[in-house]
Amino acid sequence: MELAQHTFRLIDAEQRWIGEVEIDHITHNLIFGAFVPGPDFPAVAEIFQKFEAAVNVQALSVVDELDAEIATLGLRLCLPDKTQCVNVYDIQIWHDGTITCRPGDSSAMLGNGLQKFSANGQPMEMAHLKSH
Amino acid sequence: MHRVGGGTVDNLRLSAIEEVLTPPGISVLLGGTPQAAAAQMRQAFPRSQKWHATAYTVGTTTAAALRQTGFEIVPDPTARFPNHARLVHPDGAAGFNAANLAKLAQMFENTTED
Repeated sequence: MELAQHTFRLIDAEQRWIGEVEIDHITHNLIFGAFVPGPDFPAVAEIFQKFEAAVNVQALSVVDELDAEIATLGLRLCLPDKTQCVNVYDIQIWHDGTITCRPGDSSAMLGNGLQKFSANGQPMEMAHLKSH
Repeated sequence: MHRVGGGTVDNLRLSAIEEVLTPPGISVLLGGTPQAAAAQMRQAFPRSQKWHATAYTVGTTTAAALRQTGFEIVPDPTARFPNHARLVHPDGAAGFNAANLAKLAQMFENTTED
């Protein structure tokens, strides 16, 4: 099962269906994909719009605050049947329908951003998901 | 010290988002090369259309040069940018007026990537 062929649901800690993510590719521990808003996206859309606006004007301390706010959403990528989920952090959703995120917990961002990798170079969590 | 996007008056002006910061100020990156500063932005925001233009400019200057124009640098590390700092003025947002920005812009040397 190729991970890149998967479409995942983006779910938050409140089990809200934020959207669907079709993974395009994974470079190191960074997931690139296409994002289609789900029924609950309007509840969180403003945070990502503010994030993009702050990025565009290079207001990097504001970006930092919005990162923290996004992290509190507790976002996860789940298979459509929700049998497998993986926590993600550094989630960036752009107005053009693209998304990037990293598998793991947001605490990784406060350190050096490194993730644990399996022998094949996939992050541990994604490697686990891929095997199911 | 680097200002991604260039050290032009337009790119040194406070945005509405930055006007309400305490203190008001714009983001700069400390240390390294202009190319490294540009790379940091690309890596931090890999799908940002704004920061993935095929070519853009980075303005570079020194803290000493900035002080000559009345501005100051306050270290303000973030999770993504440990070398982040805020360029501020003792007069707050009012210090980012056209006259001061014109002086400030003259202190930058701009490097444009291919």
